[in-house]
Amino acid sequence: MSRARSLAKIAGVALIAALTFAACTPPGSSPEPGASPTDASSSTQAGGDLRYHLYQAPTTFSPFHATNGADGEIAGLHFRPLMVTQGEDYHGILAKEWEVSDDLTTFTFTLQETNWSDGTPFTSADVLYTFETFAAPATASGFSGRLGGVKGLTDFQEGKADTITGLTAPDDHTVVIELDAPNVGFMTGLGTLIIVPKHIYGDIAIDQLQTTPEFREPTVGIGPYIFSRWVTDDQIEFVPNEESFEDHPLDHIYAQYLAGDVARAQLETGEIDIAQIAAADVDAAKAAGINVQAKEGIGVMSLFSALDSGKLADVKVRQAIMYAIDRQSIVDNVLGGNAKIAETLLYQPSWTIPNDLTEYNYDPDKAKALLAEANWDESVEVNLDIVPGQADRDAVMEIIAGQLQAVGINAKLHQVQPAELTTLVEDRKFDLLITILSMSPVEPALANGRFMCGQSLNLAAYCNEELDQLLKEASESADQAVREPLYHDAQRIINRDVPAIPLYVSNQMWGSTDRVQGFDPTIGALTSAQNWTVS
Amino acid sequence: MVSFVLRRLAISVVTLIGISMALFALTRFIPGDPVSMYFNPLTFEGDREAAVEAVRARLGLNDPIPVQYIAWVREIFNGNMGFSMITGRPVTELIADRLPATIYLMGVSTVIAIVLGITGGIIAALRKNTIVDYATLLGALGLVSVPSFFIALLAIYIFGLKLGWLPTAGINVPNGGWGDAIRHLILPAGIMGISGSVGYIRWARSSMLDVLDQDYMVTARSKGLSRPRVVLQHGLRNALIPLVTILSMSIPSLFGGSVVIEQLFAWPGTGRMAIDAISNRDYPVVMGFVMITTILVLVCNLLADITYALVDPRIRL
Amino acid sequence: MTAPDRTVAGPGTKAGLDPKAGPGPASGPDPIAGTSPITGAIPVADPDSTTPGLDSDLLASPPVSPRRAAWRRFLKYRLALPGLIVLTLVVLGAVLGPLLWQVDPNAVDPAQYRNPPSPDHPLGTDSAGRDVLARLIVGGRVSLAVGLAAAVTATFVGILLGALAGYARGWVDSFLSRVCEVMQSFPTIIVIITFAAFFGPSLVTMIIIIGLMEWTGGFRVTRGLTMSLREQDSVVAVVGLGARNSRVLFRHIVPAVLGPATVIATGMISGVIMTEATLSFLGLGVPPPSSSWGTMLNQAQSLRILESMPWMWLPPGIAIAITVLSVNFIGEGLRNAVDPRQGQR
Repeated sequence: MSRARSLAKIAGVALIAALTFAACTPPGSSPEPGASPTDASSSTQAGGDLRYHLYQAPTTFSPFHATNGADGEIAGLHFRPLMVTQGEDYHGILAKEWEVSDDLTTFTFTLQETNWSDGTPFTSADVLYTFETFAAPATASGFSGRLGGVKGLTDFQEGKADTITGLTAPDDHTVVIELDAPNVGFMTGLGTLIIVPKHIYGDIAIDQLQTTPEFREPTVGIGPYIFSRWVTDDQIEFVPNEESFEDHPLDHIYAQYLAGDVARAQLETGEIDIAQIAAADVDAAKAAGINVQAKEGIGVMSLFSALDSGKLADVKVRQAIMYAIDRQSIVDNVLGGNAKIAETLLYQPSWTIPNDLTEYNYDPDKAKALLAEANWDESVEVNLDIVPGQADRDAVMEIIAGQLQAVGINAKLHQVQPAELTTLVEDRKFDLLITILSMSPVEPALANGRFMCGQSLNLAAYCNEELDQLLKEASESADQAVREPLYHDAQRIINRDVPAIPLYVSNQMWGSTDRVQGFDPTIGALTSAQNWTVS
Repeated sequence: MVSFVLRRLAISVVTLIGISMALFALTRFIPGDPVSMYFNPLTFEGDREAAVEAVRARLGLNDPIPVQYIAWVREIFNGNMGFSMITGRPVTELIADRLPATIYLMGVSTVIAIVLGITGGIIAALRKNTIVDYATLLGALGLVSVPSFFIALLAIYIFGLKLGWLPTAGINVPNGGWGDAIRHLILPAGIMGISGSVGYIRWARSSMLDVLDQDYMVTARSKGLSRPRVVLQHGLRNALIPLVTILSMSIPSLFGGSVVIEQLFAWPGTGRMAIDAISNRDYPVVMGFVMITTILVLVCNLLADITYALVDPRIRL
Repeated sequence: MTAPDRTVAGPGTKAGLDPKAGPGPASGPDPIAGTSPITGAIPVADPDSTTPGLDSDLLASPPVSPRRAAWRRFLKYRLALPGLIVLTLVVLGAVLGPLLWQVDPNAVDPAQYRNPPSPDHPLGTDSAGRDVLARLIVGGRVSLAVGLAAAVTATFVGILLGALAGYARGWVDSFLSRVCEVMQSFPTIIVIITFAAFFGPSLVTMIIIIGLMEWTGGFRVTRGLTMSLREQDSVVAVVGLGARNSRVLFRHIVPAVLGPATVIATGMISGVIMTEATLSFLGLGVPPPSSSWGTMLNQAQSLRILESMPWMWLPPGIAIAITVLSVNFIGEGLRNAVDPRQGQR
C-alpha cells in the first residue's frame, strides 16, 4: 500500500512536469498513423477534466474476469491490448507490428518498447504471463477460449506441462504463437486480449486473482490514463500516465456509472461529457445542442431459441416468425430509424453477404400459411424471454409478442432477471430469448462457434454439417477470393434455416458536449481516450 | 433496567438468527444461480463447465445447505461476511463503502422531515380549523397520495433540467467540496424529507392539541403567560416525549424509501447495491445487506426503548 | 406493566384507551398500517394518531341507532362523502369501462408508436402502439384489485393472529407479539422487493407478499380488543357457561373488531396501491402485457416521455392520486365513525 501511495505521488509530480511540456509531443512516440485525429494544433490545449458515462457499474480491472462491458472499458484503458479493431481494420497498441505466416499457423507480434507506469520495462514476459493466465483453468476466465488451438494448450490445461509450448518469446520484444491447425480468426481474438504486468500479478496465486485488491485498485498500468482512485463505489478517477507512449493531455478522466435514464439529462446539464444515449432520445439531444454521433452496432439484436427443446425445431415455424414481425416498422418507429434490418445473424463484414438473400418482409398471411404447413399447434405457449430494463428493447419485445399472437402463436412475455436468464440457457428452457451477441466486424471466422455443431457458444444448438464444412474451409484460408464464395454459400444456409431470428442492427448513439474534441465512437470508447481533449 | 436491556438484547439476537436462517434458505432455493451468471453462457469462450464447477467448489456451494449456513455463521464471527459473487469483493468492504452514503441521506432527510413536520403540525394546531390548518392537512394527505418516485421525477425535470438549478444525479462531483455536496443532497434528501414529514405533521398537530387542552396549559395561560411562551415551555416539551418512539419506528420505512430515491438519483448507497444484488442473485451481498439493516434497526429500537424509559419517568423498569 | 412494550402497545400519553389494549402506540404514527412504506411517510389513516381538521362542529346529537350515529360521524368529515363518490366512480369506470370503450388494450402497432391523443385514441398510444385509455381502464382493475385483495388478506391474517394471541395469551401471545414487533421494526419493502424478485413478479405474488408482510396493524388492534373483551363480564360469563371458543370468537370478538379493522384495511388500500406503483418502478410490477397504473406511470422514468409525452403518464398519475386521496378521505371518515372520540375536537 505504501508503495502505491508513493507511486501516486511520483505520478502527481510527473504530471505537473508534463503539463509544462505537453505542447511538445515527443517525436517517435506518436501512435500509428491515422489512428489519432488529435493533430498538433489541438494537442496544445492540454489539461482539463473529462467525465465519461459508463452504461454499467464497473467492478474490477481484471481483464481475466471482466464480466461486463464497463469492466472491459476501464481495464482496457488502464492496461492495454496488443491491438484493437477499428471499423474493418486493425490498429496496434502494445503491438507495434504483427505477421501471420502463409499457412495461418504462426503469428508473430513485435511489441512496443515502452514502460509500465512504475518504470519497469514492458516485455514479452508480460505477454506470455498474461496469455498463460488466461488459459489456466484455475483462473476461470471467460476468455480462455481465445487461446484455443495453440500448440501444447491441452497439456498445459490438464496440468501435464508448466508452459504452453506454442507460446514463445525469442527476445524481449517479440512473441510467437504457433497453432495446431490454420485459423485465420485467431489473431483478432488473441490480439485484443488485455495485457497485465507480470511483475505485479505474477506473484499472486492464480485462484486469488479474482479477489485480489490489486485488481480493484491497480497500482501499475500502461495505458495513456491510469487508475488513480475510486471516487465512489461507481466512479473512477483516471490520471495521465507519464510513461505512456500514447497521448494523455487531460488532467483527469472520471468514468462514472449512473443508473437509469439520466445520461441525456446529464449531458444537457454538462454534468457528464460523453455518454451513450437511447435511440429515442437522439432528436431531443440534438435539439439541446449535444453532439450526437452514431456507431454501427457490433451485433444483431436477435431472438434465440433452444432448438434442441423441439418447440421451434421446424424451420418453417422459424421462417413464419420472421414474416410475422414487422421489423421495418419497429426500426422506423421504436428505434427512430437508427438501425437497419438484418437478414442473417452473421451480418458483417460486408463481403461475406451475397446479394440474393431472402428478405423476410412483414407478411402475416405468409406467416400463417407457413404455420399451417408446419401444422403448428396454437396452444403451444412460446415464451419471449427478456431481461427487462432497456426501454427500447422492452417495447420491441411487447410489439413482437402482439404480432406473434396475431398470426396464431401463443406468445407470452417472460421477464427474468440476469441470473435467471443464464439458468434458462443452461437448462435449455428458452423459447425466444432476446439478446445481442457481438460479432467481430473484421473476421467472420470468429463467429464460427456461434454456428457450428456442438459448440458451447452455439446458443440455439443449431447444427448443419454442410454449413460446418463451409465455415471450416473458409477459416483455413486468408485469401478473400477463396473465402468469399464459401461465405456466400454459408450465408444462404443461415438465411434459409434461421438458426436464430435476426431482428436489426441498431446504431450505438453517442452524445458528447461541445467542450470535447477528438471523440469518435467508431474508433473506440473509453479505450481510445488518448485522442480526447477538452476546451 | 439491566434485565430489561438484556431481555431486549436476547430477543434481538433470536430475531437476527431467525431472519438469517430464513433468508439463507430462501436464497438457496430460488431460481437463478450467480455462478452461472458470472460465467455467462452467452459469451463464455472456453471450458465453461469446468470453470463453473471450480468456482462452485471453491465457494462451497455444493455442500448441503445447513453446512453452508454454519460455514457462513462461522465466518461472521471472524468478521467476514463472505465475498460478492459478482465482483469478488468482501461484503463487509462493499457495505462499508456504501453505508455512509445511505445513512447520510437518511439522516439529513429525517432532520428535514422533523423540522418541517413539527413546525407544520404546531402551526396547524395553533390555527386549528382555519384555512392554514386545512391547507396543511390536505397538503400532507396529497403528498402521500402520489408515489415518491413520481415526485422525484418531476423534481429532476423541473429543478435539474428546466431550471438547471440542481444536479440531477450522483452524490458529488470529484473534488467538488461541500457546496457541491449540498447541492447534490437537496433533491434526494428534500424529497425524502417532505414525504417523511407527513407523519410528523399529523403527530405534532394532534399532540399539540392534546397538550393545549390540558389543565396546566389552561392554568398557565390564565396566569397571564404569553401564548408562545406557554406553547414552547410546556406544550412542546410534553409533546416531544414520544418523538423518540416515532423516530425509531420510521427507520424501517426510511430504509425502504432510500431504495427508491437512491435508484432515481444514482446515489451510491446500500439501497441500490441491494437491488442490484437481488437481481444478480448475489447471495452474500443480499445476506450482508439484510443483516446489517436488521442490526441497525434493532439497535435503534433498543436505544429508543432505553431513551424512552429514561425520559419518561412514568415508566418504571 | 414491567416494560415499555412499545410496538405492541405503547405507554399512552394520550387520554383514552388503556395502553395495553389500545390499537397501537398511543400517539405514534404506525409505519406499517397506512401508507406506502416507500415514501418513508408515516401513515395517514392511523386509527389513533390524529384528528382531521375538516369537521363541522359537533353539537349535541340526538340519540340515534349506533349504525346511524356512525354514518353521521362518517359524514361529519366533510371530505368523506366526496371521497366515497369519487372512489365509486373510479371503481365503476374500471369495472364497466371496457364495455363502453371497446378497444383491445393489448393490440400492438409499431406504426402507432407513442402517438399523441387523437379521435381514435383519446389518450394517445404508448411505446408499443397500444391505446392508453384502454390500458388505463384495465390497469385500474389491476391496481384496485391488488390494493383491495392485499389489504383484505393482510387485515384478515392480522385479525386471525390477533384474536389468537389475545384469546390464548401466554406463550402464544408473547411469541406472536415478538414476531409482530420484528415485522414492524423491519424494512418490509425490502423483503417485498426480495420476494417479488425471487418469485417473479405477478399479480398473485404481489397480493400474497404484501398480504403476509403487512398484517401487524390488524394484529395489534384485534389483540388489544380481544384482551379487553375477554375481561368483560358478558364474555367471562359465556365462557363460564362453557361456550366453545369459536363461538366466543365469532359472536363477540369478530363483531367488535370489524370496525377498527375496516379502518385499517382502508388505510392499507392506498398504501398498497402506492407499493404496487413502486414495485413497478423497480421493474417488479405486474408483467406485460398486463398493465397497471404503476407500470404506466413508471414510463415517466424516461425523461423524454416525462418531458414531451404527458399523455402516457399524466392519466395514470392522476388516477393514482385521486384514488389514493379518496381512499384516504374515506379512511378519515371511517375513523370518525368507528371511534366517537375522534369527532370531539
